[in-house]
Amino acid sequence: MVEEDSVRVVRCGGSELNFRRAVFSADSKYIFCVSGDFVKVHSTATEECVHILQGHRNLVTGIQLNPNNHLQLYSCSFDGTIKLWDYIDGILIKTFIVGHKLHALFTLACAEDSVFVIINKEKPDIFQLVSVKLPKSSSQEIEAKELSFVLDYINQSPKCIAFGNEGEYVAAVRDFYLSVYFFKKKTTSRFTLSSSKNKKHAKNNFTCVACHPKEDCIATGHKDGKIRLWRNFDDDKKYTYTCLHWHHDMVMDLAFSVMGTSLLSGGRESVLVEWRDATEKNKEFLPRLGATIEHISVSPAGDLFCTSHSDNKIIIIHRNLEASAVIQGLVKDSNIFTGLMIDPRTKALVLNGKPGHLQFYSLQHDKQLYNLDIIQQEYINDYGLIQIELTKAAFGCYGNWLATVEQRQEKETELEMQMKLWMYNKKTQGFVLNTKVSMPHEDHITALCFCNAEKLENPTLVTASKDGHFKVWILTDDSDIYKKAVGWTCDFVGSYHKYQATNCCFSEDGSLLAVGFEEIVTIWDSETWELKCTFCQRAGNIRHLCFGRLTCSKYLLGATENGILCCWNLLSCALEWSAKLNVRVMEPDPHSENIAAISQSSVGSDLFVFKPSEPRPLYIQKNISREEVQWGVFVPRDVPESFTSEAYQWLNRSQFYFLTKSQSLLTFSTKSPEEKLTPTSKQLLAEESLPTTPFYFILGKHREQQDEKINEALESELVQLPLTENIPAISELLHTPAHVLPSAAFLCSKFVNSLLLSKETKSCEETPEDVDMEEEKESDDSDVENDFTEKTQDTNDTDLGEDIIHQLSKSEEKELRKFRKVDYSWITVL
Amino acid sequence: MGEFKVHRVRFFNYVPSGIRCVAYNNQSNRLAVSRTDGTVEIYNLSANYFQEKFFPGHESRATEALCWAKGQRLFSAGLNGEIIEYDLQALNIKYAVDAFGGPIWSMAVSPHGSQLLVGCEDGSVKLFQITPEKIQFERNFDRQKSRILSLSWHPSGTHVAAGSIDYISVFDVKSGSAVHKMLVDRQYMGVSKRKCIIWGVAFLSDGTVISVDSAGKVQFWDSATGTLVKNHLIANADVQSIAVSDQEDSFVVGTAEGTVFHFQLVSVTSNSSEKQWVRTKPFQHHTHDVRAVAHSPTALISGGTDTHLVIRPLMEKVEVKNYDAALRKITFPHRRLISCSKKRQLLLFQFAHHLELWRLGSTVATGTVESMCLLAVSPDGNWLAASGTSAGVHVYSIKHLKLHCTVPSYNFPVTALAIAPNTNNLVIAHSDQQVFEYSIPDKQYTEWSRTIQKQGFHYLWLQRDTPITHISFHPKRPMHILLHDAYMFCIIDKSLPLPNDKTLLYNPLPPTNESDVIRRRTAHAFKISKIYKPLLFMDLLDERTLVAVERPLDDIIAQLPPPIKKKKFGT
Repeated sequence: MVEEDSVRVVRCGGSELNFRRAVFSADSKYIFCVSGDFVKVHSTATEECVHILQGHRNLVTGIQLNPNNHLQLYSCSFDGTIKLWDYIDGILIKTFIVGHKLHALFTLACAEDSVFVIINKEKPDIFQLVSVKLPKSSSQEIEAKELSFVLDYINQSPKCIAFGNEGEYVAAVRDFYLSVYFFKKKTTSRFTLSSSKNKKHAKNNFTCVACHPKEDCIATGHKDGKIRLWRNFDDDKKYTYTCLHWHHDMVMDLAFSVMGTSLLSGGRESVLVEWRDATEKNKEFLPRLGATIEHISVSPAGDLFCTSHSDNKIIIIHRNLEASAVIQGLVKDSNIFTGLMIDPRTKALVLNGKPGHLQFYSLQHDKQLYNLDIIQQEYINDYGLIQIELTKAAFGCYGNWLATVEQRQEKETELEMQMKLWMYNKKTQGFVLNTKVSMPHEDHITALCFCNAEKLENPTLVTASKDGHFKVWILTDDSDIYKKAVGWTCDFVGSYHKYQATNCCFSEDGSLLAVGFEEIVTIWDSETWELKCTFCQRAGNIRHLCFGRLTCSKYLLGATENGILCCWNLLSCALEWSAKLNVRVMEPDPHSENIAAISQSSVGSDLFVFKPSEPRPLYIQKNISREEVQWGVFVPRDVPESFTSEAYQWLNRSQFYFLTKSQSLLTFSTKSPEEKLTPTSKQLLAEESLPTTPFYFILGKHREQQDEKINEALESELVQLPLTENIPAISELLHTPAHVLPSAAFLCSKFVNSLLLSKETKSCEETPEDVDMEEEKESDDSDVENDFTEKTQDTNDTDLGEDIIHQLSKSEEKELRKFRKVDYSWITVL
Repeated sequence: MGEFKVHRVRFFNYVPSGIRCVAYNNQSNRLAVSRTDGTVEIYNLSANYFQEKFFPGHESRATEALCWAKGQRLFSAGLNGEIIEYDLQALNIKYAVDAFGGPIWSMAVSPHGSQLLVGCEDGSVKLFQITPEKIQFERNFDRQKSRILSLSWHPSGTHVAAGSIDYISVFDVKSGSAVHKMLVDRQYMGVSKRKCIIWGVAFLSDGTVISVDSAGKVQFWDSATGTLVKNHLIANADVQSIAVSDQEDSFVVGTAEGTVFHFQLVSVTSNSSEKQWVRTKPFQHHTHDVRAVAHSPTALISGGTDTHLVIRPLMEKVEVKNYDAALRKITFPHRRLISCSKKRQLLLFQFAHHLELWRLGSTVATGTVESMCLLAVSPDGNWLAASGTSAGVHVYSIKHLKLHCTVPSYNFPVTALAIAPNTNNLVIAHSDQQVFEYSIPDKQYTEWSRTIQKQGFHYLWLQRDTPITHISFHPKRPMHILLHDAYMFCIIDKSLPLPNDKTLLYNPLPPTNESDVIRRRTAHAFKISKIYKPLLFMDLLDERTLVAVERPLDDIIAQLPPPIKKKKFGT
């Protein structure tokens, strides 16, 4: 039974991975990136997300490894806290409450108990770099109010701050000057470049800064694409700099390699440039990275680089400049023309991705499945170029067909347009281009829809266009003597009094087609393409049009530009009801009668869920977002929920996702925030959530590090030991946070001793199987940890063994198994 | 100040020769520049970079090397195989000595200034002893296989580095034998190219040898072990010249692409003593090959095929941000190459090896022979004012043929002088832009001159960087003095008040839309026109006619060999 809290609007993944520089773990096995309110831990080898560190209540703005313990990670957030995590287990260790909105975080090895953060004080545009003393305390939540001021009037971006020479100085850039603060001397040097007055130096602005790890050298990036290497900057007069110039546009980020032998730079050219020995002539390139490089980071071990790109992806690059892995989030393009769609096969969210591509994005796993190149042309990255835009897309026939429309309009009269129809190929598991129609209409296509009726012999597609026509396209046999083929041809062209066709929509059974012609809605019979009837409300042009579903299939809904929502009864051909609502988004739920409409007002956007049969809404949520909502979609749930309360019933079958103007993908959740935090807190309270014993939890953990002899010795004994929750040594081990535990050598003897006391072996034989059962059941649940799956595999092996020798009595067989394990462990110990 | 009919002359087909060598003398702060036609010019850097001496060249004396020796002695060596010493007082060639080694490519004076080393075409390095009167051959070093293109002494004078083709030799001066032979990589952008020519070497006191070569490399060698220490690839074309500062904390190289790179010795971290050479700033003031560079304590000096001499001050070495801190580009000689006959309307053009006489309005060219240069102006009547290379001006009476008086000497050399027709006032312009008026009959400075000295010139006037090369007078308006430098033409009206630093110096000549009151209030003695530039000569033909001779830089560049083609982004 799910506890029913109030419905909240939550971010559901698809957050920006490229908001801040990614951070590598000390052994380069993991890479950390911010993702909205979370920190994601990815494996650098497999690209998979290993952990999501959840706990911040606002955007995470900075992550850094703890310089004193490389197994811990600091993160800071707009919620004013700095949190310390154990990233291997995904556990929150401590929270430091600072109080100010934190914009960035820096750590230094030499400053042991303090970190540096960027805060803004008083006026909104004035940012300060301050050092925060992190008090030592055993409690989970600590107030850290001891701030000491370092630099004022800095840029809020962490790219504009860099610490050099093991914390001897800090360099900050802003506008046209570079300031260097020396901690020991407590002096600031400031170097100013000539500014915009001179046309030649008009784009001299600093954009980013990096410090050489071994030498006194500061690299700064500039808006005109230059990189300057500053030296002798401790002397106001004798300072000098060198220029490196390859980028033709702004340098977005800079990073030195670990030993400082090479400098990495990137920008809008989407090329990673490695400057070896910081010389102009000795440079290497990694081109064609796909999108603007926003951030560059280098692993502490020096073997990997990574670049964050504007299309929300992180590329992990080997030292020899070979891309090895790509972590791709939801591509955020500013122009979503296609709206949100659901691929009926993969249940993936489909929308505009990279320029000219459709992206298939898995909402469950928060990662991109694949990109489908629709335009299939080289994208030329330059300002002011008019590109071919992918404007419309629709899925038909249970995902067997995909229709796309692309267009490019340089001048009023020069419209280039293409419609492409893609067939799903089961063999290659992808879409293959079937038919290409150039200029399917004389003017812009305003709507595109497939007939998705269940019993349909011929796939049908309807396009509506501003040229006043709607066209019906059907799949026909296109075979010739060479091959069997199918292709799409135009079957019928309809129009209504030369009005522009603005919308089209098929009824659920496919028998009727509704086409909106400006203010008028026309209903056509899909068998004969006869005009059946028209509706006109004289309330402005029709903006959205949809048929009701299931029991409400006799209703047709239309939303107009003047803020009227109408519901027509198709049997009586009369207006059933109408309401005054400025509808921005209207989406029917494919699995129920419900229709969601989002209206826009000056304050924000409101959600209304209703059934067409009754004008009273089922559910209203005011102010779901401050911004304009652009698109919405119902996503069917894999496992239906069972909300009983009337208000939440609409969420049983499907989930509603919507996209705001600033490209944040949001959804509705009934889970309380605490519930969402479970993965982290669960591990600390492991023994309570597991039905039997914490032993198996430890067992699973320890199996990961099987080469440790002590653990193996432990393991062999565990099999025959009784399960006791009340052995103090064990509970102590489990309740103490990992970071305050003494060394394993010290714990070991105590732990083993505590186990040796008990000699009864009676009850333990029964329990493992019970646990196995439960765990297998649980493995469906998405919350189950990796350890569990490993463990079930293990027990499966033993189960197999059981099958083969099932003639033996149960007790004998257990005896055997016990011996086998004991022997094995002894061998390995020897 | 009245309107004039202007003869705008652009047919003076003057093309300065490219600069081949530059030698800086730290003691006298003078710079010797030799050009490809053999001309040698001496610039006084203390006197506002004025070109004070000039040795006309000859086709047979193409200089390849130029250096100063002890006691302000200037030597040059060239492809005719001769070593030449110049007499800086008499402004002629003292003597020429044949080295008997074929064309001489390089020359270096020992750190103590007493020995002269020349590198010859036949691979020999010859040591000469400098005696007070002459130079005397002393010894040959071990003969090398190919020509010696560059030479550099170790500051202690014990060793010498010599750059040849494909290798650098280090000689022991005492024994004259080669100690090390350091082979230079021929690689050019990854492909093996033709031979690698060592255009320049520099020997530092810590034993490091820096070489620049035709593959675009600047390399650092350890002369003790003969090994390559560091390699900087800086250009796609030849690096042709190198000059090290006296402190050995910075050096400058010039490339065939017209870029000058500055290298500095900077400490690796602020708290360690370890230092490294870092390429810092590139300067692109040239369009063609930079054949010669020099490093003065406060400036980088470079010159090349594009005929400009560029003096780029080092900001960190300049104490006060004044006029000396500005970049100087010297293109035209600081003397008058044109004279004009007012009555006959003739223009006389002086070229390096010939003269041209033009009649205004017609195009008859008549050539005559010799080259000449000295600064002397005769008045209308009976006075002669003469200025030598030292700053004093002597006035002679032509009637009596004896010295009438001497104008009090001034620190800066005279750049132009003229005697006014009626008043017999001598007007003198100096290289620091000061203008004096001296009354010859009264043997003292005039009242106007005293006022202007008391008040001082406008700061913008004093910041002008080309010397005044010609002064003339208006026959009908005695209060006017006409003078010009390369970028402006000025009429000084002595009747009007002098400008102070707050007034606008460069006012547009005819302020049409302003009322007379404002015009009168803002009017001051200096009327400046910048319409004609670069202006080589301007004079009054008669009351209402001016003749202006211009030489646009584009016309000069069009006659130079084409520069190395470089890909420019976006083209």
